[in-house]
Amino acid sequence: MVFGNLEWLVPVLALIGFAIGFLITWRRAKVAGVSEVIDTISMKYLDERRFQFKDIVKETKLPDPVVKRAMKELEKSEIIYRTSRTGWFALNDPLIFLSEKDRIRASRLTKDDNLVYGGYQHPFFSHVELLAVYGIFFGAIIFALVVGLVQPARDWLMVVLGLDPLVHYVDLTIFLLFIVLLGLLTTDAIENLISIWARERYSVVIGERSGIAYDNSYSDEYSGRIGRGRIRKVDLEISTAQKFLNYFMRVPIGDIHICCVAKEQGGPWIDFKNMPFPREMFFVIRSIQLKSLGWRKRHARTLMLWRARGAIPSIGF
Amino acid sequence: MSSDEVENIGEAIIEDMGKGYRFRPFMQVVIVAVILFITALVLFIVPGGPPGTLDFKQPGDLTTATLAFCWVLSFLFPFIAKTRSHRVKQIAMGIFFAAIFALIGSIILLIADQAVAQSITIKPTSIALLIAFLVGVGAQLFEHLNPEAVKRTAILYFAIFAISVVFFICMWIYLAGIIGQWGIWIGIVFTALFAYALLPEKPK
Repeated sequence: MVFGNLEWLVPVLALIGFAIGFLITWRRAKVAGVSEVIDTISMKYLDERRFQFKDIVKETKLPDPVVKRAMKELEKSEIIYRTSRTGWFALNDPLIFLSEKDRIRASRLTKDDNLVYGGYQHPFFSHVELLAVYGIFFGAIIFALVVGLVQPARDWLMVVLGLDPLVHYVDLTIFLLFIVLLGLLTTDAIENLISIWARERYSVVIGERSGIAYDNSYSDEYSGRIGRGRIRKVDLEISTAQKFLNYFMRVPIGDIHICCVAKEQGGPWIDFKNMPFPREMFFVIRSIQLKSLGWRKRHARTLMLWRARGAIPSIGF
Repeated sequence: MSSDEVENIGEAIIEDMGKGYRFRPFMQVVIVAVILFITALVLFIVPGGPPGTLDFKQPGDLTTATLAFCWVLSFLFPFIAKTRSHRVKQIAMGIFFAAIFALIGSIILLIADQAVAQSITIKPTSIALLIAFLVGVGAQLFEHLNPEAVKRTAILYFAIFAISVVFFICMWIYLAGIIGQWGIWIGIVFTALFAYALLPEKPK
């Protein structure tokens, strides 16, 4: 039996694999001048102020090739973007978690206001999606465990697959692994579909002067509006379920409740469900409510870097 | 944050900004340790009660234990370790490669075992299914570990096409053995599902 004699190869290969995986990610991407360029942009070109390559060279006093490489890196990381083909750049606002198309739409509908936050609310995330989508994956795991461990269930499936219970035990194990994979693929595919469904719908954007604009339905064009003067109270709520999910999800979520006084007194509470990075949204709303973006300016450099890896504007695991 | 700290864009900052939402690093280590303990416990209990597969006396025990530890860790580590440091990413990639290498080793041993054994105990179609599993789960895990690397580019489309072809061939071989001619159609459906699941669908 090969398995009896050479089985030690499997853990040895696992160790070799670990070493290879560890070592190929050893080198960090160090780009000189990135820090200086970031400092300059966050100090002088915040809030959609455009700049050119020569402006950064002048401010940082770094050699041209260094600035060029640094700006290329920042553009690749989607921290800055080109506003025209003639060499103008602008800071990609770090708290805008919208698609390019939606950002343009938001900018147009808020009359080119300085957008300070933008994201998609996911009203169903912690309910239907979580149960239906991830339920498929966990269902597949439970099925595989039950069939793998319970003798009558195992015998039944072997009969269905036409396997001999005395000979083909490994075949059944491989089939169960495949069932788990199918559960995983289905979950991921449905999650993709839900991302499409939620994208460009239920957007919420916050402008410096225009206040909060949001979609009320799937085919909406920001018909929901809360002028910054109408905001009376803002509440941040992260439920127990959300808090638990936030430990494991890529993008943390939470609910934001806003009490706005309508033209007639006694304005209603408006809820934004499962917003990405809710604390930061809360701070932004407080900032525009107080007509001061000081918080955002103080943390501009930090926020600016946020756009890079990890700040994926989609909700999921 | 000093200038020197900004050598790897994004990582340090995500750790800072996400800190309020995540477990502390020590707690993350504890959870990983608990998961390892539970995996060991399951391997100790099943199959057939203690010492289960952990006595390493039966052929396949060591392989089962290695695969179980590697794959459980490779799947759960990225969910738990939310500290966005370069070292954590290195460990995650290390575990991913360990899981892939262990599975490749097991497949090679299985094939060799069948070649030298007097009687065939595993259907050749199951080997194809195991390769489909390796391709499918490996690609999924890689996407999960490196979301920043998975962007809709020509290279990504080509890579997805290439591994989808491998996945389809393996599926076809397996399904044809079970359901005959219908195997090709079901294989196409599964492959389409596989390819679509790999494509990043994010508002970018």
